[in-house]
Amino acid sequence: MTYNLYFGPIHPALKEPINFTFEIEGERIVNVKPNIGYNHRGLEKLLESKTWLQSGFVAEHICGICSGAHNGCCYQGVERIFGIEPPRRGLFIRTLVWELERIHSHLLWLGVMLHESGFDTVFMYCWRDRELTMDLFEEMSGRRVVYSMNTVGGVRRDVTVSFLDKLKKYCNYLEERAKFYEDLIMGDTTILARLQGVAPLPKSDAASLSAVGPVARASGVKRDVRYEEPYAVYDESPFRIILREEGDALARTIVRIEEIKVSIDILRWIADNIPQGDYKIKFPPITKAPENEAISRIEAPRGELFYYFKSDGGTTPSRVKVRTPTFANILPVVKMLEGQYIADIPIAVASIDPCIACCERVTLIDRKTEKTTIVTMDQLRSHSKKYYKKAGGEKF
Amino acid sequence: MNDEIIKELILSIDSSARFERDKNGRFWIKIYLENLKAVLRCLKEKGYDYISAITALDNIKNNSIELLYHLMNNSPREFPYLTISITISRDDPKVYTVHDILPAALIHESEVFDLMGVKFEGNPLTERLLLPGDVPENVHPLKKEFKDSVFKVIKE
Repeated sequence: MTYNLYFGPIHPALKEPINFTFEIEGERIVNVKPNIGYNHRGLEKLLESKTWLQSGFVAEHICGICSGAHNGCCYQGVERIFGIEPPRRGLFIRTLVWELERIHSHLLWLGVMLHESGFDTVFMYCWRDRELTMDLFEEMSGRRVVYSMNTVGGVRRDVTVSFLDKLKKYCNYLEERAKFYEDLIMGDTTILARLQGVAPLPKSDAASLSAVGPVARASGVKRDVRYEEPYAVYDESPFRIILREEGDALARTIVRIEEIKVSIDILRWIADNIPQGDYKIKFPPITKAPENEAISRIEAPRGELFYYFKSDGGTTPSRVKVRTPTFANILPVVKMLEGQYIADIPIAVASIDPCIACCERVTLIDRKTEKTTIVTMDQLRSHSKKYYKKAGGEKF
Repeated sequence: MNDEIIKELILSIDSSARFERDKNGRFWIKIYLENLKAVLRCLKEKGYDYISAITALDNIKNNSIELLYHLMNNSPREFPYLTISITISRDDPKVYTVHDILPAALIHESEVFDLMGVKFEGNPLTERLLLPGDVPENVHPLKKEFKDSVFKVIKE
């Protein structure tokens, strides 16, 4: 006899509002019905009323974690509509943003994955290392998330020599950490027992269900937009595709750690080879586009991100279609969950990569005087260090 | 790129098919609705097993809806990225499902039905996917005539 188990939309194991109805027989899942749409904000319709330049600012709010990917992919599509080619320095900075974002997204994901499997110490380590990426973003653009770096025909801000030096130091540190995480996961029998063979997705299913990103690559499907049709400067960069054959939760973890290493190599290459010159071309805020249609695809941290633009010759697009990687990975996740134990649900769902918005600053309000003070991230950090030292902790 | 192979293959099924190659390396193909299944089945044998998305365009001027199927080959460096386009009537938008050929089309078709109101005959997901279930049956927000009451309030 089977019974139904309702999971989500609000659930401690889920970081995104999604609802699953599981048909359970004993401890095993027989059938899965996903129910999405709790966060539908109608952005495709909203984009139809925005000018070509405004569209990227709306698009980057689709996802907090990969805002740079949405922003860049959107403007890449607009450039194809207009037939604009951004200057090379602009393309280098764009690639830099994308790869930094991949590292930050994969570290965040690794932390969440280990948290779901009950390894909270490493979750803290991962998120501490992720802070370094956020600091780089803050220095580059002034913001930790939703950094609005791209624009039509290049990027909005240049990078300085001192930033590139910092980037190199960051790469050296992070390479060590990536190695540490790999050794830690491969050398810990508890983690291996928790992840190995859980939520399997065979190669044939990953291919036929159109899985994207690390989920597809962990099942041995060679699917990466950077490899299929190199955009920006990927065809010159030291990019290599990471593939695993096992298709389980462990393989997905390893693929993401290896991709952090690839991203570090690309970042080093960018820091050494970034050309001098203009980083953007002028683009008036209100411009009539030629009648055209264009597709823009890039490899976001979670997989292929797809934008379609149609122009009727106006100052706004007549249709914008966005296909996010998580949407494409819903059917593969349903397949993964079939035949699994109830206890494995959080791990399987976590492998579609959850999103959490993060807040830069906090505002403190004095209740007596109603005076507000804004505490910056640096102040918070030094406060936490002092507090930790006072409590007798080691220096970190 | 093997453009000629694809051209020959599709012309053998739909002799009136039209082709266009854009400068970003994509291949646009316009075919008739009744040939869609045969074309997709043929392309799948050639390795086109990945569907990126289905885009629905509302052409209010021609009173038609255009559906674009974006496909990719499993050896993507040898074969071009394809966009198959079909046109259907706007008054009674109906088309056959292709999820028996490309299983991943299931969720994309469901999205198009929800937001554009195109019925996919044979698709088991007949309920709303993204919008809440209590939205009236004939409301499909990506149609050009749809005006959201929220937007109106903001403008006023």
